[in-house]
Amino acid sequence: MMRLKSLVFCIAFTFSLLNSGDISAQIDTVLIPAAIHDTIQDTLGIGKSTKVKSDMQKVENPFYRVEIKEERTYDNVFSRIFLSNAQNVKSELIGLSRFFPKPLSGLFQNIVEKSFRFPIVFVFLALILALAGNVLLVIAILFITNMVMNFRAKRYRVVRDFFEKTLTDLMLQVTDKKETMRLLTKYDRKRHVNMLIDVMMDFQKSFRGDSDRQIMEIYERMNLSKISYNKTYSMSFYEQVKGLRELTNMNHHQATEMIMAKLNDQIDIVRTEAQICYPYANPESPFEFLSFLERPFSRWAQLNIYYLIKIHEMPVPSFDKWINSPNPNVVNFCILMIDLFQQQENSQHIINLLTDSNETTRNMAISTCGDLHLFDSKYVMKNNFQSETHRNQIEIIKAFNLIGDETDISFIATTIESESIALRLEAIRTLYNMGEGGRERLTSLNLFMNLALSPYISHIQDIRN
Amino acid sequence: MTTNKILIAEDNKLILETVVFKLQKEGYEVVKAVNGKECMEKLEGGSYDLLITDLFMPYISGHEIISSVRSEMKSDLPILVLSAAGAEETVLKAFELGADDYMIKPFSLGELSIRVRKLLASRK
Repeated sequence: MMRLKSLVFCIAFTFSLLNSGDISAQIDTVLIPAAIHDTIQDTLGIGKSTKVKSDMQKVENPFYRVEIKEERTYDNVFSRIFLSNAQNVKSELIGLSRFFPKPLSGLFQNIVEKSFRFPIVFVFLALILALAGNVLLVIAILFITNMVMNFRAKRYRVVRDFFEKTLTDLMLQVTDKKETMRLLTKYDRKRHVNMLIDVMMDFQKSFRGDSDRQIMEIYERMNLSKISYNKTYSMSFYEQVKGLRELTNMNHHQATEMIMAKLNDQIDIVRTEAQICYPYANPESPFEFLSFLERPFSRWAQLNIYYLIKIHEMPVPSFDKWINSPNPNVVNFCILMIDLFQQQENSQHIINLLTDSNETTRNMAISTCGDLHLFDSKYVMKNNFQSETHRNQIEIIKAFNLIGDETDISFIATTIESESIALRLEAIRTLYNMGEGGRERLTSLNLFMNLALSPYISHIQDIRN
Repeated sequence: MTTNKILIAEDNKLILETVVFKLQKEGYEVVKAVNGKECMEKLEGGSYDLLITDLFMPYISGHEIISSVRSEMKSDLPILVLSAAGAEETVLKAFELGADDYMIKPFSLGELSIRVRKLLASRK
């Protein structure tokens, strides 16, 4: 019977040890029934124990107050896991409270103390429940957000269809302007007004004639132009871009004024938009803005200008007007346009640019000399060849592919001895394409100079290259 | 008096609805197609007095539609092209394939109406 009681007490004590809160909360002393004191003393290696006198006289089994010292090493796995680690973890966590501000430090210590009071299983369960709750919350938020967005999209579609129908009725004279304005002013919220302006812009892009004049009139009468104008002064760059675009598409008289103000804006996107809008707002002189550009002229804007010329068949100006601009981007754009539109009358300007200080400008000028077959440029290119950058030297050799003749064979032949493979390859290609004279020279170079040109020649002869 | 039946193929919803409304107001029967594939299906499934088509549409382009109408279906259906592409090569290609008329966007609804009337009159 005593053995059974001892066993029960052992199990109970073991279970109580699972309660890491108990261990940590009373880390220094543990009360152990006398019946199991002797049994567990050796197994746990418990330190000094003192018999506790009970106040209750009738207690049959007194208790021992057992000291458990922190520095003691524990030999068995059970004590290592549940005694040492819990104690260390709690101590370390409480130590972390020094990083918290004073009011929060006490709260943090309280939380640590309380959490170590509960069985660790409950702590894990609580964490799992918190995680599951978090996941459910996220799913709920996603679901609600999705519902709200679907509702908004549907509402947006309904309002947009209403605007389109109303403006179509105006264009086809089903309703008059007064009735149209009455219907449109029912929606006066900011997002609806912005939507209305977008719909009007779509109409402007798609239709012309009497119909778009009516829409422009509605735009003015409803003071929507003021909203577009105010957008150009917004703190957000995308609002500024939107404002510029709206004023331009609606052919508003203030469009040019705002475009000129933004032409040299610090923000790239705003500046690019202004550069693109200018030709649309000023069809009589679509390229005048090149005279006012001080900041970089982006590639995207250049592409749009070129697109405008090609698609809308705008009259192409002579680009020599801006070829001496202090803005290198403008100069390079002019060279490109002169090349694309084969403006032979500007050839002298191109030749002059072969000695420009800007490397890219010289590069483009060299390329244009070849494309426009400017034979007068050969002398300048030969003279400058040695002082040119590697990139431009290759470009010069490429240009000679188009404008070179037998008198240039010696010049090209000297570059074959260059260490640069790219330069050598271009020179060999140019000589090869110069006809019999060039090929004879290649053969003699290969034989007498021992330059091993055969792989290069094979490469050039391969039709895939 | 029989009502002329027009098939219009256009992927831009605004232009499609506006043109359909305009033509219906003028007394034509109008059938819509929102892309090239739908246009071909409707051409194969019915007979029309005029085809108005965009060039750049999903699935099948306007150029392919024109080519198909002229070479495979061997039809003399009047074709009016309505496109934002104004480049000379694009316009010439459309005419070479068999288009009868070409309008560049943005366009005037009044002008469209006149061109439709002329094309239908020339068919008769």
